[in-house]
Parts: sequence; C-alpha cells; structure tokens
Amino acid sequence: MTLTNINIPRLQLEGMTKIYPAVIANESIDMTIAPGEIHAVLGENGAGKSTLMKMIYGVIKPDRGRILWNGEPVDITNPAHARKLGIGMVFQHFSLFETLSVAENISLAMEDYGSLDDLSRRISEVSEEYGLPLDPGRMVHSLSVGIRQRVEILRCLLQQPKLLIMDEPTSVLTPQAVRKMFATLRRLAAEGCSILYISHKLDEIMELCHSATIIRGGKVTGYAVCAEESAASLARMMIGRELPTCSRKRPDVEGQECLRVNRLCKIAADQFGTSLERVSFSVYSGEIVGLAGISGNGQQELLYALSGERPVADRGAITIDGESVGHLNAAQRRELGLGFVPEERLGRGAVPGMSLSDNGILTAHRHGMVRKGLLDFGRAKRFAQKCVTDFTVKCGSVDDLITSLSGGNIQKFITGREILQQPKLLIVSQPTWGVDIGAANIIRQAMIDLRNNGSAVLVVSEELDELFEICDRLLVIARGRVSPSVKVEKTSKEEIGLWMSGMFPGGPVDTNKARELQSEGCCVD
Amino acid sequence: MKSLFGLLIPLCAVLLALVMGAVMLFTLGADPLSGYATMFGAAFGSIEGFSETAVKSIPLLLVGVGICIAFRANVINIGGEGQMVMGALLATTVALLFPGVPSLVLIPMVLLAGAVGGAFWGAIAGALKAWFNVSEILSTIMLNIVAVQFMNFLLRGILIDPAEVARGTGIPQTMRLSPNADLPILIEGMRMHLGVVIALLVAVGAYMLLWRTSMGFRLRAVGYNPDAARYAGISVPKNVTAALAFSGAMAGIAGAILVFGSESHRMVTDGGSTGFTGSAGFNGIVVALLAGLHPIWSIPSALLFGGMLVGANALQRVAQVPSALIIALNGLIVVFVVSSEYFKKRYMESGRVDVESDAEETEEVKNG
Repeated sequence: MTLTNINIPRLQLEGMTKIYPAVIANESIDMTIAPGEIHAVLGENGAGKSTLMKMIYGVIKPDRGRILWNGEPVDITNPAHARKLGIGMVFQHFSLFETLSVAENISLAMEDYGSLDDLSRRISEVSEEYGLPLDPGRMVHSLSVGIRQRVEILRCLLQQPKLLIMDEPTSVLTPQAVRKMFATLRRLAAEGCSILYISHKLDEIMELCHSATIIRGGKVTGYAVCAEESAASLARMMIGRELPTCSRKRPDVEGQECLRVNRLCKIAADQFGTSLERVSFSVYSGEIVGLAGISGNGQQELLYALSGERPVADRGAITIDGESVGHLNAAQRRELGLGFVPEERLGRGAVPGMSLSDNGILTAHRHGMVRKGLLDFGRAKRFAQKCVTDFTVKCGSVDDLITSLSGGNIQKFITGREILQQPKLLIVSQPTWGVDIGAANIIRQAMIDLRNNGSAVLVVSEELDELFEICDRLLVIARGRVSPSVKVEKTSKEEIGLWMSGMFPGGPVDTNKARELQSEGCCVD
Repeated sequence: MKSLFGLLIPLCAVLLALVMGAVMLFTLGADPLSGYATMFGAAFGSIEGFSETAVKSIPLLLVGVGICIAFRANVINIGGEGQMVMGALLATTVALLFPGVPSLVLIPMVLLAGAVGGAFWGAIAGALKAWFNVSEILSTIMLNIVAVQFMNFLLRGILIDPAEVARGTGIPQTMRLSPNADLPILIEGMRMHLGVVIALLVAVGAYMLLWRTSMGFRLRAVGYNPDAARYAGISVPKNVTAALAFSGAMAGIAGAILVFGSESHRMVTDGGSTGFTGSAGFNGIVVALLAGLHPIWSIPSALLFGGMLVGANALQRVAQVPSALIIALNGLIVVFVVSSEYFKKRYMESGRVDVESDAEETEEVKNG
C-alpha cells in the first residue's frame, strides 16, 4: 500500500469541534483520508462518530474546524452540497419515505435520472452488479430493516461517489453477502473512491480497512494501520481497557421444554409480509436457541405471534410450559413468564414520550410497582436505575425522556429491563444491533447468565458471529419456514449461510435453485 | 426552568389575545383599559363576582378535565355537549324516581347517575372507534345531536312537569326536582354551591388518575404510542373506550350539576343544547388546551374563561360593547395558545442533549 505517497488527500479534517449544550460531541478532531483508502472510524456508542460523519455530510454545522476536500477548504452547507462534491452516506438509521417505492425514494436524492423506468433499470443493474438484489418497484413500508439498508447503500452507489461514508453497513447481511460487499468496496476503492467505514465488528475492520481512527469521548485517542494491529489491540484503544469477555460455560442439566411452537401457520398481515408455513420448534429451559435468517423472511410475523401482539387462532400452536397460549395477548403471556425485546426500540419496545422510569413501568410493573392500582414511583425509579447501572446505559437521569438517549443506549435499557425481570422465557430480536462491543458483551453475558439460571432464551439475529458466540442450538428461518435445529458445535457459518438462502431439509428451495440464489447473495422474494 | 417556560408560553398567548381584544375594543369606540377593568372587576373584583365566576367555571372545568383525559389517550372528544345532556337526563330521572331519599345519599346518587349517563354516551363513540375504526370526531359530534333530540323527546314526553300538561302551556321542562337533591349553597346569599367543591375534587382526582395510577399510565401509553402499548400487553381498544368513558363521565357530572345547582332546580330545554349547557361542552376544550391538557392547570384556566363570561355581561352594560366580543376573545386565545405549541416544541428540541440522535438530521437529509 503506497497511500502515503499520494500528495493531496481526498479528505482532510482539521480541529473539527461540535459542542452541544450538555456535552462536547467532538473536540479538535483531525483525520486524513487518501484517495482509494478504506478508513475505519472506531468508537463506542456516543463517542461522537455519527456527529463527525454528519459534519462531513453537511447535516450539522461544526462549531470550529476546517474541512479540506481534495486539498481545497470547503464549507459543506447541506447534504445536497455534499452529494454534489461526491460524498455519499449510508445512515445507520434510515432516511426513507415509507409510502414511496424504492425507485421513488432513490429518485429523491438524484438529479437528472431520466424517467423512473430508466432509474429502475439502473437500480436493477447496479444492484445485480454489487450483489445487492432489490426490486425497485416495492414500497418501502413493506421492506424489512435489512432490505431498507440495501436501498440506502444503492442510493449512494448510483451517484458514483468519491467518498462513501458507511455507518455499520454489514449488520444485516449473510456472510456470503458481506464478502460480496467487501469485494464491491475494494473495487470501489481500487477505482479511487475513498471509504469511511464505521463498524463495531473488529474482524471486519481488520479484513477490509487500511487504517483506522479511534475516537473516545469525542476525542481522537489513536490512529492505527490495521495491518499492524490485532482485533484485541483495536478494542483496547476503543474502550480504553481490556475487552470484557463472555464466559460461555454451560451447566449440563437438561431442561424442560419451555416454549413449543407446533405447526404454526399465519397468513401475512399485509401483502408484502411473509406468511408462516407450519413452523415447529422448541426451546428448552437452560439453553439459548438462535434463529438466524435474513430479515424479511418471516421473523417479524413469527415474533408478533410469539409475543402475543398478534394472537393466533390455533391456541395450541404456541405453548409456554405446556400451557396453550396462542390466543393470549402480550400481558397474559408475560404473566406466564415471557420477556420480549423487539427489533424496533422506539415506538414498540419503548414509549417515546415517556421517561426511562416510566418505560420501566411499561413491562416491569408486575414486579411490585403497582399497589392497589397506584404506581410506586420509588420502586420504578430504583428499577430503572438498576437497569441503567447494570447495563451501562448512558443517560442524565432516569427521569429524562427516553428519546434523549442514543439508539444503542435505548437498546441497552430495553434489553436490561426485560432481562432484570428474570423471565422464564426470553425472546430477543437483534439484541446488540447498533450497540458497541463493550455493551454488547454485557448484554450477551446477561443472556448467558439468564440461561444458566434455568431460563429459556430465543435470540433472533442476523449476525451469525453473535449467534455462534452465545447459542447452544441454531435454527434458520427462510421464506416463512423454519429449519430443523442443529447444535452449534456441529455446524459452520457456511452451512448456516446456505440454510439462510432456503436450502435446508424441508426448506423452501431445492438444492440447485439455492445455489443459484446464494450466488446472488439473496433469498428474498 | 423548563416548567417555568412551559407556564410562560400560555400566559403570553393570553396576553397577546388580550392585546388584540384591546384593539377591537378601541375600534368599537370603547376605552380598552377601562373596558378590561370593568370586565375583570366584575368577574374577580368582589366576593359576589367571584362567586358568579366560580359557578360559571364549574362546567368548563369538569368538561376541560375530561378533555385532558381523552386527549392524553390521543382521543378527540367533541361530544361534551351531548355527554352533559345525557348525564343531566339520567341524573334528573334518578331524582324524579327517588325524591324521598335524604340529601346525604341523594346528592351522590344523582352525581353518580350524571357520570354514568355521560360515560355511557362517551363509551359509545369510544367503542365505535376502538373496534370499527369510526372517527371519534365525527361520532361524538353526531351523538351531540342525538342527545339533544333525546332530551327534547323526554322533556316533552314522560319527564314533563304534570302541571305544565294540566295548564296546557306545555313548556318542555321537568317539575321542580326534589329539594333533597339541591346542591347546598356554600356562602349565604350567594350562588356559589357545592358544585365548585365537586369540580375541584374531580380535577384533583383526574390528575391522580392520569399520573398516579396504573390505569392512567395505560391511558397515556396508548395515547403516546399504540404499538408500544400493544407490545406491553395493554389493550388499545379497551383504553380508547375507557378514555372516552372517563371524559364523558366528567361532562355528565357537569350536566348534573347544571340541573341541581340551577336557580329553578328543574331541567329545561329550549330545543337546542346551548340553552342548557351554555356551550361548556365545546369551551371545555379551550380550557383544556390553555391548561396544556393538565387537570390541575385547568382550574385557573376554567376560572379565566368563566370570569370572561361573567365580565362580558358587565362589559356590555357599562361600555356598550356587544358581548359577542368575548366569543372573539375566546377564539383569539385558542389561536394563540395552539400556535404557541410550535415555540414550545422548538424550545424543547433546542434543549435536547443527545449526541447520536438522528431523527431531525434524517429529516434534513430527506429535504436536502
């Protein structure tokens, strides 16, 4: 790599500073990215990565500091300006209009794209080329989180950017698709496009990036050439201490069957949803079962049915501890010992207009917070405080609105709230999505501890690394069907990746078709 | 700091509305300052005036408190008028059926009947919304009309004073209701009666309900975010219905108090709802909005509007200004209060402390 020989950097930041009323988000940050360089920005939640990226993308204005673009000082006033310069950004949270189609959404960020048909054709071409298959005519509201992210990535790629900012882009892809995307990114870099890559997956950064800037508490705490570092040393720079590890040790007792799903069928609520077809599996007390799969393959429908938010007609299709619960609502199932962390944090897992402590009451009120119909605020506060302490939630006080927290901290709080209730059966969707590694380990450890105390845990995740790290058995969901279970020791990421494309015994895809699909990195539609 | 600011904004809105009103007074040829002095002097300047103001404020406060509950659950209740009428009808019926019961029992009985009547009427709209997705704005307005016709039907029919029939005058009103149900006067020689105390208790009760009980928590959770409520196992349909039932119950009590606290101690109809309610079913919404949907702040808010009603008459007498000016003033306050919400939101957002929140930025990206 001869990056240092290139004289004019693509992007240079000097003394970037952004101060908010309560915190200094960024303090004198310097950074240099050469043309064709893939540069990682590493930092925990709240370290100030997103703030920095948004300043580069013109979303927020720096209080101090200078941006040099190809050696010229620029004042990036808004995202359209940034795009004109050749800066593209894939956001961690999505900026798509739900009531428009994929092509229409992409057209909004484009100038002269010809007709919508032309654009649709280009979307299909580029998406095939980069291994991110996508139907341009689909409405965004019907897409899962994973596919939405794909739309965001494509939107940037269509503009042939000179600098691409990617905020945790791989969290929703299969290992095969990740490899394909890395190939895409490397090709982009070879073509001279610089890439700013934000991720908490250290092995990915080691594999993909040339160099990394590490940010902690709004300041640059280190700069690393990835080839000279190890994942562990990067982690140490990022969190400022040794990385806590999970102890997986598992007691050998065989548990009782806690959750049983028996030939659960459910027609999707909307036309783009995935119908569940004869889904059967069990989760035993004292084990963690992982449900892998690319989002949009029926996870949402399954979770709505399991949580009781959308009860099913066949009451025996779901049993908890042998009791038929298919017809019960969420509260009644919680009475039987169910805890549930949904994928959507705000607006499902938490009420946006309420404080942390009130959001604790939301599901934990059974634990002595209501006496004779009256709320016990002292207990509610103590509970929320314990959540905040145990799960290192960064917040002012438990009386603050939950919306004042960052996404990762909300996730920590919600997961903590459910785990602290010591449920007999815990169902978690995407437990560590967007959560930094330090906190992710705390959440994983808490789930493992819960299992060791004899609870049954079902984890629905798209991150295979995570599933392989904490689970005892794995299931795969593809197109509304669930695979037979397999012990983690007896399988590999490659096999699970194949299963994710629908190729498993009794799966929706026959062998040949599966290989074909898998080579496209896709199993949706 | 934040709560101080929250208090300042509605005060500014009221002041601005009064300034606009002053301009109107001026163009009508009256001296604005002495006009306002007359108005507020009549409403708050003496014990007698205050007593009148308090009595006028009762229905405003009760309906307003009900609106607070409904709006907190994200249900719009425009049916205060109908709910007042239905509450009054049921309370009147109870009083006619059990005239001999002693006051100590009869007064709670008629108030309870008022609450039940109003709650029933509100719950109809609530259930329609909850299970059939009928807009509660439309259904509550239409139920107002149904309630009024039902009142006319009953007061001309089975509830009519037999004396009216005998005389052949046929005025649609009940006979003088049992004196045992009369709301006791609080201060000798004035009109202020027990209804004032009841309204205050209800306001405090509504506050307790919303913020101290699990039931209120459920109502608010449903109002903030139905998806999160469903996630927690809170039934959205049940709570939507309950919110309108509570709201209706408060209006129903207001209706009952109008009957048993009236001078005539009868229920009378002039064919429409306003003649009976004095539009409190609608003005209660204004009271609640000015109070920021807070039951306790509804107390001063109701007193302000009640005072303006009392002051309007004085203004008309002294300054020869049409009392319709007060309606305009009410409207101005609403306009200013509602538009001040914008500034309140902006202030709240500028005070946010999150670093990584993307909500607004995402908006900008969309627009950019």
